[in-house]
Amino acid sequence: MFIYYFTYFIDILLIVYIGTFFIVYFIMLIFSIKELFDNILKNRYFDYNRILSFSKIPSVSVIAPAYNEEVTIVENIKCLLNLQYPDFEIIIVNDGSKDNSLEKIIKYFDLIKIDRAYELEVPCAPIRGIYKSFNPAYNRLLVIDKENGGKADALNAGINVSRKDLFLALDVDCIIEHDAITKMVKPFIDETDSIVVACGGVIRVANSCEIEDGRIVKINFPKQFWAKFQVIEYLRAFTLGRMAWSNINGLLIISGAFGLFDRQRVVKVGGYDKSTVGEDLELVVRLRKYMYEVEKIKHKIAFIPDPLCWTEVPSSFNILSRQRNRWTRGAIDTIIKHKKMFFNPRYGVIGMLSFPYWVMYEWLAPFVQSLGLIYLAILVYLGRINIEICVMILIFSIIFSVLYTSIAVFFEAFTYNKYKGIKYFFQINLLIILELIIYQPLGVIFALAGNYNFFFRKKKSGWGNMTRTGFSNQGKQ
Amino acid sequence: MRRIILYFKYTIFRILTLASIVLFFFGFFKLVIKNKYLLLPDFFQLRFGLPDWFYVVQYYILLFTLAIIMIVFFTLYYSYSKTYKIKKRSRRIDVYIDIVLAMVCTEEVSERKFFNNIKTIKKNTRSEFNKSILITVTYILHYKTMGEIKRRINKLFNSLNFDKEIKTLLYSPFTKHKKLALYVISEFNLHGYEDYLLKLTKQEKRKLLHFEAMKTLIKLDSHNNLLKIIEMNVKISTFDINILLNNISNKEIPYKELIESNNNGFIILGLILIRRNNRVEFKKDIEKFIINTNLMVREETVLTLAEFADDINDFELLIYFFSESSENGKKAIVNSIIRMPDNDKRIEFLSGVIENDSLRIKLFALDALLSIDISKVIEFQKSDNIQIRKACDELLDINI
Repeated sequence: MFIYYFTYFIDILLIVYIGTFFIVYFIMLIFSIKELFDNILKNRYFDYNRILSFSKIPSVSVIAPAYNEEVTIVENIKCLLNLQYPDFEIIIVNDGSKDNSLEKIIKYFDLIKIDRAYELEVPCAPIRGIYKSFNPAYNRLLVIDKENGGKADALNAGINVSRKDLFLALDVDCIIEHDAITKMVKPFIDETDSIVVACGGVIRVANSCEIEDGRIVKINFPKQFWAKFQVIEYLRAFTLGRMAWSNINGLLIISGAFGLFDRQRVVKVGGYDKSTVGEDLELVVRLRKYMYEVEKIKHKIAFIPDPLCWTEVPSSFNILSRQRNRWTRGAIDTIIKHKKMFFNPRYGVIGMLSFPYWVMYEWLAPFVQSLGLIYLAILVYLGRINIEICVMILIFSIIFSVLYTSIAVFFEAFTYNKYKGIKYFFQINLLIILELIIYQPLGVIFALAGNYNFFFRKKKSGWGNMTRTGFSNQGKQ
Repeated sequence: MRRIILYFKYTIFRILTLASIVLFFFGFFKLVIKNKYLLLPDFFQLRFGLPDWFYVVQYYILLFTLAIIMIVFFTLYYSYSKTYKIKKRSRRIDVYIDIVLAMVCTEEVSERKFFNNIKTIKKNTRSEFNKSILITVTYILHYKTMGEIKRRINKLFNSLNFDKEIKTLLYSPFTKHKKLALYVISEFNLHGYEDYLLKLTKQEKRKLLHFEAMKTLIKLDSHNNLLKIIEMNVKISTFDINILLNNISNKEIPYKELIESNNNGFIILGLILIRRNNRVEFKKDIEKFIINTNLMVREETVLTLAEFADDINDFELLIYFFSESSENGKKAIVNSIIRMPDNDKRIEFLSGVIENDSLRIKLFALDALLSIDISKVIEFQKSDNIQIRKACDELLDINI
């Protein structure tokens, strides 16, 4: 009798969860398509070079923290110096690197220590010195040397030294399109009904691409096995997921690798949280909370669907697992810190939709998936399973996942068409299926490990170790 | 006819989408519930006791599978057609650039030869695609050239007589067509489309059309068209203000109408234009905006008044509103104070700012003070306030 009621209860729970899961993703699909088309109508034929001639535009600081990046740092800064915008500065924050990053930058860019004044508006570790180049070609460059404190701390140091209206938080190893700032600034000056407090952009995988002088000259599909899956993952997350949330103004995350923020408002909320590894997600959630609680004005977090930032993704299994572990810990930490927002109508769409989504389908999903498998095994053992229903639901799930990813791949071809060739076409379609069998189960394992580390090993902060191969050699190997 | 085809092309995608949605939501009532066994009927006839929703799942599996096949096909199609179209277009553009340049860069030819050339071009440019390429090429070359060549391109454009094509492009439902038409109208100064352009300025979704239409109207006739836009009370953003500022002719600007508008966007535009064109006579008219509820209006007012300040009353007004001003406003006030006739008062004001305001403003005030009284700056260098000392160090660092 107990087993009957127990299985009945679990059945209902799983059916409700899976049912809502499909409905939520289906609705997201519709919203993302709508947002994508809205964006096409709005920006597709716009010539962004026009913004370069504008006189009333916000100034921008590009803040790029660096830790032990000596292999790529000079190339990366050269790439940033290629950016086009009328009023911007580049602030590189050396977060107490143990290698020769700082020495390399000083030597290459002719830097000299200066007495630049700054206020400690947001907390950060002591700054040892600020450097500026005496070569006029690099007059936009500022380098901060500080004691080690983590990525969030380094970004806070950059915010303190910055004197511009907006700041672009960036991973120093990213390759940025030369018109990235103009595209990101547009929503800030384009809105008439609400205030834009931050803007996120699409990140793409740079592995195997050919790069010269800090610019991508040829886009290639990655050659590394794990990187291939991440192309699909990034396409799906940015083209469908974030676009959908952007459509209902419910975006809760702007990638830490690439996001533009209103400096004054970030200072008002206290800058980046140094105690978490998910500082990007946490900051956006805090900004949203602040806008709802304090300023109480109509606001927006914008999202640009154009691929503006290219990053090297983990190509080895170990680095990938560490990265995903860190992402999971960051998400849990943010959810727990801001649990007050969960199903709280005071926070509008965020409280009622975005935040519950993160809890239910980002944090709890790996648990439900694992529980489902264990439960299936128990039912098979007890002989209490209807094979037809089970197989049909499995087929339905697979077909739905393939459809969802195929739409993301289609939109890439329809809008930007960055990856070309018949080889890519066959590879990506094969990988969509392989991803379901290999990559997604691994994602569940990484997420469970992240939960374990967060709750039992109390591992919450620190720089993620990512071994860089350096862009200058890529694509030609 | 041309326009009907364009509208058909435009709506067909929507009709297909609508049909798919109808199929998606209502199809299964007919397909699944009526003939229960949609998939593998023999297999399911062997079973019994399966719930009804099971057949709904089957229906969606079938539908999603078909959708995947279609999407994969379209992915391949779009990927290749896009690459092909880009290549074809760029090849055709190159060809037309050569033809047009050959016509306008050679020595002046006789009228007869010129019209023969036009005839040949027209004969070879019959398809819609080629016509739009030729229009694009003439527009680009006209935009990028000057002097005699520009004049000849203008003559060529007029001789080609593209009125019909431009009308089709302008009234086409596709944004890219409208955009090209707007570019051409503004570049070649073509009149007669003003009413439709005014309609386009109300576009909220297709913002590109909204500001391109405004830009075109302003280029055609700054004064009258700006008056019409003000009258229509079109919503304008900072972005639009920039577009208007870059295209407005400085002659005959309706300043009074701009600042008397009840639309903050136009007031801001008016304030910037008054400042840019140094129209000091409006100083008294704009003072009221210093207490406006809109932050940007207040900021532009302060910037303008700071620029125009010349007597003690002006400076006192600015000093009075200093603490309520934005950072940019404060910087402008500090800069203007250098011109204040009363030396003691200006030093007193700047010293107060240095002692009490944020570091960024301190730096500005110190810089201003340096140009008035260097000994005062040296005094501040020994201040107990670490922020002031830091600001002085930065100011005196020769490497910055």
